[in-house]
Amino acid sequence: MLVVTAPLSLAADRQRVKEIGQKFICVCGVCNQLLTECNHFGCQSSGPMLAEIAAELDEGQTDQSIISHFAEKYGITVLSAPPVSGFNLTAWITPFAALIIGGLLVVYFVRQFRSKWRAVPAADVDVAKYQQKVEEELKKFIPED
Amino acid sequence: MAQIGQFALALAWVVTAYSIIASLLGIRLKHDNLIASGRNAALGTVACITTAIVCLGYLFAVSDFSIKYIAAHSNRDLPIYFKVSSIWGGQEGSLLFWGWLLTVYAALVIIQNWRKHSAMMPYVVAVLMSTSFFFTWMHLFVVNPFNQTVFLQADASPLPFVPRDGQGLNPLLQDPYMVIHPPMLYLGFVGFAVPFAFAMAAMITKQLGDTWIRTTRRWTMVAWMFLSIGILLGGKWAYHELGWGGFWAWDPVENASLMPWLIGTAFLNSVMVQEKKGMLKVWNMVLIILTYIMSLFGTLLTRSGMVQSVHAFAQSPVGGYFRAFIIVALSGALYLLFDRLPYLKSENQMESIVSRESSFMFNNLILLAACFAVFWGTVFPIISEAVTGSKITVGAPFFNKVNVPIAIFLVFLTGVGPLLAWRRASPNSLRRNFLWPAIIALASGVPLYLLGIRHFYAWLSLVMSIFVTVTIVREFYKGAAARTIGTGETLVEAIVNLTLRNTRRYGGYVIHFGFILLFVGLAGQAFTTDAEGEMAIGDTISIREYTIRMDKLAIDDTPNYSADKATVSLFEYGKKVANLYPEKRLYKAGQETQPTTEVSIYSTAKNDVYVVFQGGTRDGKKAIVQVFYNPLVMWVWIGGIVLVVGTLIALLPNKKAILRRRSEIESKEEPKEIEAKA
Repeated sequence: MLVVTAPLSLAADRQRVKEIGQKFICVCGVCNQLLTECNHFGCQSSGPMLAEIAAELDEGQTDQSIISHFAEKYGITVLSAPPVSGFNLTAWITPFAALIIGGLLVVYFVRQFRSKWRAVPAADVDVAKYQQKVEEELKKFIPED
Repeated sequence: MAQIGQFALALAWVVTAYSIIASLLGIRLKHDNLIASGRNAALGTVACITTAIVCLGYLFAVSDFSIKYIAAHSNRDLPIYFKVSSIWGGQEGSLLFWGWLLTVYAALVIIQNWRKHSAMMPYVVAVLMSTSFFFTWMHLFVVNPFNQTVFLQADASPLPFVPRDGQGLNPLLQDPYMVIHPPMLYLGFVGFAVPFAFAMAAMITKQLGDTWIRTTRRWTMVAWMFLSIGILLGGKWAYHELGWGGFWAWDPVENASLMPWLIGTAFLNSVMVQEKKGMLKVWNMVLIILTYIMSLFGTLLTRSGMVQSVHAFAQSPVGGYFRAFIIVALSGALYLLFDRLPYLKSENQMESIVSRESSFMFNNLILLAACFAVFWGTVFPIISEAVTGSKITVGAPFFNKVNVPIAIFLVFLTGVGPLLAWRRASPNSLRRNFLWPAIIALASGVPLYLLGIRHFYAWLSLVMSIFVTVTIVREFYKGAAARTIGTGETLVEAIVNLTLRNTRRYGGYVIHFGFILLFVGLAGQAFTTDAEGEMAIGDTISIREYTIRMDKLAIDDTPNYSADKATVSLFEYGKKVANLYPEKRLYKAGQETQPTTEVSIYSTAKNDVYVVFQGGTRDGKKAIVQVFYNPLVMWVWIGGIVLVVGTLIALLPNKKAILRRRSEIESKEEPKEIEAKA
């Protein structure tokens, strides 16, 4: 039964083809996987697309020009990650913006808690000092969780 | 049998509705019998849905193709174990399985807690049964697994008929990992309903101490453990079955399972602050609500196909109902949360930014940021299309670029958090705890670089992993060494006893270590290489220190599939180490005529050699073979096992607590004995 598949012969450096191939999604419409990872049998798209990348590399095209060419030829959905321009820039910025805002909020809350703690009257601070000593002594006997 | 199943589902729907009404009405009227009746109805639901699921299993076993679901997901020659797993192989059955697990969880919770938490339990039952009501309604009216197979006539009227054979189970699902992966994943998803139900009950009854957290701590851990196992088995399945050389592709359905895991992890860490210090009460409520909602969202993503995915077998039009249910559940939970804010005040204050409390907060922040990044990337194609009108793709390169730095920071915090003191860490203790781990980690960075690890993130991941490992080993050693002096135990005995005395703390360290091993395995993927070639008998392909030689090409024929099978010899530095048998299969039954790949893997602690039989050349004389060299993959699976072992340790009761309880019981019994003697 030997199941027939299209041979993949690449003139250009295999690693370079793989690197660029990862910037695209296979357009076969079946797998929705990265071009270099689409290995489903009988795929009519991944082999020719990889060969196209190899041919363009052999012609001396830059990564950017190959990306632009593919986006023009297959549409923007061929790109495996959103372009860093226009509205799609928000895809990249938002997670890190959320992280930074979250970080600032944590610092703000901790500081707010601390300032409240410092506002404790002097007499209480003395008590706190002794309490801390007691706790330190206790720690020698009870392992801390 | 289908009629019995259908009747059981209808009965389950009615009984679930009754359970909710009886529980809530019973509380309002302070009618104990009505409350008890609601509880009994909830227990009765288990019997109903169990009956339905047994009926479905039976129909699969006897290949009753008059039932549409059976005809679409099975065939006569399907092995019996795959027939059983076909129960959750499609839309209708998997939702039934979800609903069944929920009722089983509900029954166990009732049996375990009814007497202990009599005020909260009727509400817990009402919340769990509300979810169950939604699912039984879906089973009955939207995705009924007992619908008949029909043939649409010319006038579009349905005519019942029985096909001679079924369309078969999707070949991708005919894998041992797929038998066990969905149940594990669902046990995780569904399990989070329990802490959610207790959280809601705590808010309704205004019992907002840490009772609900202590009661559900083990339930949450069990759910989290099952979800971890489910995710790992899913990765293992993808690695074996999809044949592209990797185990995680950031597919929307994979992301669906990762999101509740990330927030569930944050919740498990964060509850410790509430238990110890009475802080972060609102935050913990938010986390458990989000975890549960993300579990539902995960099911929605998997089952609706709202985002394009390789799991195309899971698509169907249930999305609208799920979205509505998620909105109702989220709105209800948030309303309760805002209403109960005055009761959720912190009992203590945060003293220092360099403390265990704040490290937990940063750890939570990072886990939530990771979850948000995954969520954002998963839904961004929908958002982008809505805003710009054009579709875009968000694939693995996006997720890797955004999540890898976040994950490395998370690893750093995994090492730092447990070493900081509660309240405030002094400069001395910081120096004492971090000096050596930092020196060893940085010093190990040099040989790693010299060994050729120049990929920055991979290098940083390994350095951080070493840092965390040293901190964990140091914690075990410090505690055990102190015990050896005090008790005369050997170091190994001391480590075992130390762990048993505080299972939660040391189980937690083991979980962290498992996570680090897993992370090392992930870092190894930065160095994956592959080679491909056309091979006749005797031809070879070389990759790094390995060479493969094609020895034999054969055809295998079974009732279920036929296959091209290659026998390949694997040589390491010229010495034969294994025979590998990659296959290309063509399943005979049904709708999927696409061949599938059965890869063959030689796995060592250092690397995997992953051989894929791509197919034959047009002249039929050669085989096209792809070979991947995947470093450190085994550590992903070992890390997963360690993580599960750690969770099991953390689930054990503390020896200290057992001894205390025993002495309490003995001291209570003593006076009775004295009285008896007198």
